[in-house]
Amino acid sequence: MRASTKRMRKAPVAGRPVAVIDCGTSAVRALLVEIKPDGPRTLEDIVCPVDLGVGLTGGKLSHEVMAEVIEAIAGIRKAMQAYGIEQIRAVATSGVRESANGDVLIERVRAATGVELEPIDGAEEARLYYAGLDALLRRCGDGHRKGHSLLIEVGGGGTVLGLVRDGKLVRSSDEHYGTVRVFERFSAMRDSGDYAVSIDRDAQGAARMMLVRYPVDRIGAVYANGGDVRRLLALIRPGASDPVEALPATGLRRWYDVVKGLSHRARAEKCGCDTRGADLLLPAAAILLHVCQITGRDEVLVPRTTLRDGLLADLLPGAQGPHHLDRDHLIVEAHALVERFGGDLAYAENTASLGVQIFDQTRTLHGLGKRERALLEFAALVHDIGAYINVRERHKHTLYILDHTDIAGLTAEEKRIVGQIARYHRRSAPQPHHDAFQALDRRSKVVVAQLASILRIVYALDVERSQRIKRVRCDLVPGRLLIRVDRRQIALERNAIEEKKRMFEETFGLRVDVIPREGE
Amino acid sequence: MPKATSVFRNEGRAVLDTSRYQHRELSWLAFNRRVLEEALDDQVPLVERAKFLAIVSSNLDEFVMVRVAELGGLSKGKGPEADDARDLLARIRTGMRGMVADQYACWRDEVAPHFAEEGVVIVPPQSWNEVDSETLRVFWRDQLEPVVTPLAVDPTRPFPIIPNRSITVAVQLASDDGEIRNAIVTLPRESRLVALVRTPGTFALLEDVLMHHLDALFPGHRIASRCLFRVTRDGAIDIDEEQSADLLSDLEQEVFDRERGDPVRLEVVEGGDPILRAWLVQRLELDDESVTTVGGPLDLTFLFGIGERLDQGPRGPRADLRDAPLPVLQHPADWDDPWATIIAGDILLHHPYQSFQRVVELVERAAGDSRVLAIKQTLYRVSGNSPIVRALARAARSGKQVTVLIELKARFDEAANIRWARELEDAGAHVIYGLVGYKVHGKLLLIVRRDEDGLRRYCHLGTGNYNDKTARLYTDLSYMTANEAVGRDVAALFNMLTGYSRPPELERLWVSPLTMRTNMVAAIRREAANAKAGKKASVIAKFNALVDETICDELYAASKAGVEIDLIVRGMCILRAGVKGLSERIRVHSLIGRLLEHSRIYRFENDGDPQYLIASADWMTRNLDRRVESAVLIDDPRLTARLQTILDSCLEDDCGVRDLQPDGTYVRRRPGKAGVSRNAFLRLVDEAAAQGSASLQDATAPTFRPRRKGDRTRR
Repeated sequence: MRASTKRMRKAPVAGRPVAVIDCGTSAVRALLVEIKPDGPRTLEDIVCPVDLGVGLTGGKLSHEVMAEVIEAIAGIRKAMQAYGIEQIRAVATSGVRESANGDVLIERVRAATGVELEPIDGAEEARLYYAGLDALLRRCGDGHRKGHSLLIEVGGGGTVLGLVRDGKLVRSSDEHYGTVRVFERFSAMRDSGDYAVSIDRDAQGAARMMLVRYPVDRIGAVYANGGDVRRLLALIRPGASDPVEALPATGLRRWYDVVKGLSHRARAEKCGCDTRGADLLLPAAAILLHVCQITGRDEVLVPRTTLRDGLLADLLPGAQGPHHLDRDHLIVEAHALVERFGGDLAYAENTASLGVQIFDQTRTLHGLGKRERALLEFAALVHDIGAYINVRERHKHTLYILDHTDIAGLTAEEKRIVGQIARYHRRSAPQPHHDAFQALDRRSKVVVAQLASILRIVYALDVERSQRIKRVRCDLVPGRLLIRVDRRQIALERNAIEEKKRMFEETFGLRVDVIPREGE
Repeated sequence: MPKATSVFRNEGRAVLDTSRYQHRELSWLAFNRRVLEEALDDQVPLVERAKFLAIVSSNLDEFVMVRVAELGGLSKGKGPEADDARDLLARIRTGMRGMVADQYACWRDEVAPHFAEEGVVIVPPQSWNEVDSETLRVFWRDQLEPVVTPLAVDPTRPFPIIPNRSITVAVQLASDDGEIRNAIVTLPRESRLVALVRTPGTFALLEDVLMHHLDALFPGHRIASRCLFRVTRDGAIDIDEEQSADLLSDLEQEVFDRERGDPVRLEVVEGGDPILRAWLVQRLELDDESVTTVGGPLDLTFLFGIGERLDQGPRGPRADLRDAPLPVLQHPADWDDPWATIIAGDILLHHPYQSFQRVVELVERAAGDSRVLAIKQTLYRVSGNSPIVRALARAARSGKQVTVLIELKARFDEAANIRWARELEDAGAHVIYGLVGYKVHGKLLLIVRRDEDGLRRYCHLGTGNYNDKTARLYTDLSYMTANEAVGRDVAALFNMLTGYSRPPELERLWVSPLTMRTNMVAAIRREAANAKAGKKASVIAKFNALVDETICDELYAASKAGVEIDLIVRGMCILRAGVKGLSERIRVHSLIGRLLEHSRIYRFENDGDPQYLIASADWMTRNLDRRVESAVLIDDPRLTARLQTILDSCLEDDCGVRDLQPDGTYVRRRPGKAGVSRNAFLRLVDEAAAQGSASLQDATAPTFRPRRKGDRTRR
């Protein structure tokens, strides 16, 4: 073929086939997708029903249940092979996470199918739902609304909440309120009128508890998701097929009032499904109704996205991959944490600002990158939130709070690193008997040591908590790091630094001197 | 007069309201009589008439093995249902007796003499000459005697199991010491016609050879009397699938056991000994009503092969006594790159007017194409030595993912299916043996190929089985497409069939037992609503059987609402057509001809935007509820125009169409005046030819085109 004709023909571009699998409480679901330059194209959308409900009470998954999951994933694997798919991300949510022998299942799945099933926490779930919604809203051209929105994903084993502010996920939490879990608790009474009443009251308690300390009076929209929520939408608004559909609270209430008086068989007939399927709809409807009531919304918005859309978004070109939110996003989350725990935001922001100034100017020393910079910034912002519990030992309380707070967009290891950086901003440096620090992998220990030693210096630079020092300039001279600050009177800071700089000096093998603004 | 109601139900209801529905069995008998009419028609070529006689026999066998057996079981009970079953059974037997009498009269008085005129004669023993006797003596000694086993029957031994549908002779023996005892001898399943050497084209019947030499089997005994007979047994397969650990093995056992099902019918040849006949009735635990006496050779299915014998006769091959052969049209003409051809536009093939070979080639091409990643296919009834199965095995051996869903329970084809299943498994294919509780009847093929511009799914959906042999005799449709939505639907359906996915939401496919019934009913109701609203409304459907009261009710309601309904139903139809106050606007037509009408097309007017589907399913309860079936919406105007032509040709036919009358009888149409025939077959031959096909010869013949001045060389 001549070169000219070759140039004229546009070379066709083959896509990259990928698969995402979500092992939930009531189904293993998979999306097989071909990622092409003009966007993803769904090859197959597979749903295999399973019942991991038993694992939700901390019980053990039976061999039969495990066999079901393995069979489902083996089947998906076969479907993948038909398209030559090799790239895959498979996650498991509360059903596996909370069972006593979830690890056994993960290992058996790996042995039988070669698929690595990763149990994810509520924070990652929230991030994935957010990522799916984010992609959907971008595709629709609407984008996120201004102000606060609440994401609520009602699953079989748990409910995940996310708070979005100005398009950024700022907070997430998860609670053991799941449709399967509630059904299992109340199934004995499912043929009496008490079933619907008890579920309604239980949902009220759960909603009130979940939304504690969420800014419920500022929430402009509630996005609700989950298999049972989508089934409710189909029942109450048949034919609704827009990417985002409204499910009005009045419609939900009317539906609930009709089905609550029915026997479970009649309910199933009304809902056009089996009795269990119908019974699962009640807890889903009840929680949505109470969320509407508490937030004062007259509808929830049901986006046509699933956890798999979030998983898929991570695999698209330019995506950062799992457990990842970018720096801007993390900083908003950290701000929300400081607010939530009554911290001094001005102090926190100045500390973070000084921290990243030193980080940026000492790159040749530590050689760390953008992500570590974001971790330092995050840790600097939240390092003081432990004071909410007690000023004494506040660095340890900060670590405790971080350990027990859902933070979307950080991997488990990153979350540990942030906790440790914050924890070592004062008092003792890492010691051999500090188990949590010692449990980090080697590289993480180095990162913590480097970043915590920077945070300790910054901490000393605003010991007065007045944000007097706003700018620093670091000069590296042989054997010394000179930190020039924008104030002349720094006796207090120098005194504080003497105590705090040792960790930096030991970590980097340099002496640290703070130099006041010229003219002293 | 039929009773107003009958306890015996067709399907799904406790009481059959016979003012609204026909009994399915009686409707089936009416269908088989239409087949018999083809044999009786002296306009039909001789060999084809013999074939129709054979089809009547083979149809009756299957009917007896399944429906009569089931009714027989029911009638043994007590209560109104049993009473009703007995009543229905009596009517069926009367109908069958009349039909068999007419069938044998046709053979004896018309077809056999005609064959004799053409030089093919079955010579009865009394006309054997010396040469014949010697020929048959040698045949007996060398070929028959070694394989037949006489079984003595006496009170000390259990009555032997006589294989289903085998030809057997019962004899009464008198020994030299005066003792009388009975024995039976079963003929092997071999060719029924034994060639005689005196003239080419003369034959003796195998059973006559046996009867003639019976003495040799029982030395020391005198043959006191004899009776030739044939037993038909209950042929239903009965496996508890939920409990079956290995369906394949259990089914093999069941196929074996079918030879040993309860006897349902006894056929005896006229002139057989009445005492032996009574003895057989008693030992087989039958009653006199179960006995059919035939005035000619048992089991006329041997006539399927008589055409071949004719060709070996004195006058050589006889095309003049057969239907003219169908041209072998290979459509589409350009099949060098089937992938590109399919991408260029959806393809509809109308078999056998257009060859099934293209479908076979598609599978073969896929098997050898390095870009093909996976092939998934359903197989219901495949031919012996099926090229499709061989291609699938080759694909599996070459490392492609091959998934084959073999329906082991395809009635009377189980044995062949078991064999193929094993072969494919050995080749490394993933073989699935149907679904528990459902027969997989849908005809689906999915090929996943990594094209240059990405992954693409190529689908074939058919109305008939992937059987290259029957595809020459059955009219069926093939739809090939690379349409994204169809591909997604078919892939999802395969995932469901292979057992790891919940039933999917489908866009272009209607699937039993999930959405087919609801969508069909919804479509009929939409027509009814449109008619009421003064919009255009009609239903035209072509399929094989209508045995579903719900669908009938919907059609009755639509008729009352003003919908014009034309149904082209080859076989059973329980609907009553043209009944005042019930179904004035419903017309039912049955097309019987040289091809077995098997294609299923459903057309709903939809207020001027007609919706066309081709399907694997009839409007039968079993198709809608107990089988996995598929229907696909066809939206390409080129293709829907073809479907419309097929429907029009059948509706306007005046050669093979019979119209169902309000009283349940069928009246055959006669060609119109002025010799203008509207023969659907001929019209459809032309229609297929107009699609731009290549004949086999054309494809290989080089074409010459002189170079002209100014022609540019293209590369």
